[in-house]
Amino acid sequence: MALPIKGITPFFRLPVQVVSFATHRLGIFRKLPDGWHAEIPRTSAVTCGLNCQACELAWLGCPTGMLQQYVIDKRFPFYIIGIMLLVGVTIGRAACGWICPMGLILDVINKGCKPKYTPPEWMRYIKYVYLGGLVVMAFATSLIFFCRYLCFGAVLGIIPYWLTWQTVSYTWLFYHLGAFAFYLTFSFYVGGRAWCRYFCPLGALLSLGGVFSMIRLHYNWVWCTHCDICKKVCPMGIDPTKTTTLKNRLECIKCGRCAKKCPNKCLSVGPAPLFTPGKDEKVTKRVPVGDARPVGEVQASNHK
Amino acid sequence: MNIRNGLSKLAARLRGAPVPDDIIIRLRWFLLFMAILAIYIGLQMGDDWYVKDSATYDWARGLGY
Repeated sequence: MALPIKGITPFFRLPVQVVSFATHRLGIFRKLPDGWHAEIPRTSAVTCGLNCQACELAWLGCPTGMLQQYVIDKRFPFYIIGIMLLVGVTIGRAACGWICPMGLILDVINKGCKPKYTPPEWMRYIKYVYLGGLVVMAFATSLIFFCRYLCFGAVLGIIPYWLTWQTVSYTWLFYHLGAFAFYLTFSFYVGGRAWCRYFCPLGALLSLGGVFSMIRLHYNWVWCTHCDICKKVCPMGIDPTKTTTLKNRLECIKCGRCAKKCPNKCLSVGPAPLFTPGKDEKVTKRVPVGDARPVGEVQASNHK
Repeated sequence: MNIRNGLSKLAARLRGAPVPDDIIIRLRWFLLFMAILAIYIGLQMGDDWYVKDSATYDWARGLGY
């Protein structure tokens, strides 16, 4: 029995990212010159993206900053853990691919990247070390240590802060710009979302819940000609066809670039089975999906 | 060196291993419940969604800028 493809090919990611970025920056209305001045509250509600709370334009908090604040206050971060788990279990790292304001900036930067170097696999663990270190250093120093010294996202905060209040010392400004330049240079040679792949502690936090995400990649192996285009375009440097592996569940940001570029439409982003895998889910691993054509026919059509 | 190789091989095997959907589905609902419970406890312990003390421009000054 032929089954429909589960999921969609996400062509509308960029508009969603732009809207998300603008929504995160709503605090800009506080700074309207003269005239109308909107009352945008500066809440400590957290969002699921890197969105520096120090930014004049922010009105939602960054989970990493808030997590450190909780550790410094010697309070157990029930709220942050709950929110991160909720986001992780529902949309998982799709939050990185679709919602994170820094993600949009990285995607724009990546347009100009020329990947020449593939870092070793163990570097992916750095983000988990970052996450652990963030908690330990906040506890040890009673400072928001990570944001102050190591965070890429602080650039989002410090530049608007400096432009509006100009109370930031040049030392800090140039320090963060230097760190930003370092990550940009690294991204230039590595390609893809190097920050998300190797360093982002928020990505690490989301990936833990993201293993159980309700959104996942679907792969139709019958149509696949193993052209490996999906691997080449993946910004996270994973093999999108291995959809059920732990690595994919941890790393995939569901950006859908693989689905968009796949010449045979073998990949799509869509809902994961919510209750039981059931017969349909099991059957799709054995039987052609949709109006599947034999591999030879697909290859022939590609050469036309 | 052997331990390091062994660990990296184990990590690679774990990361490459398929995770059965059955397990994922069962744990997912449990984790979702835990997430809602954690948020509820967090909000009971304080108005964490709106903390004025850490939600002002002084937040950045608190960073040492």
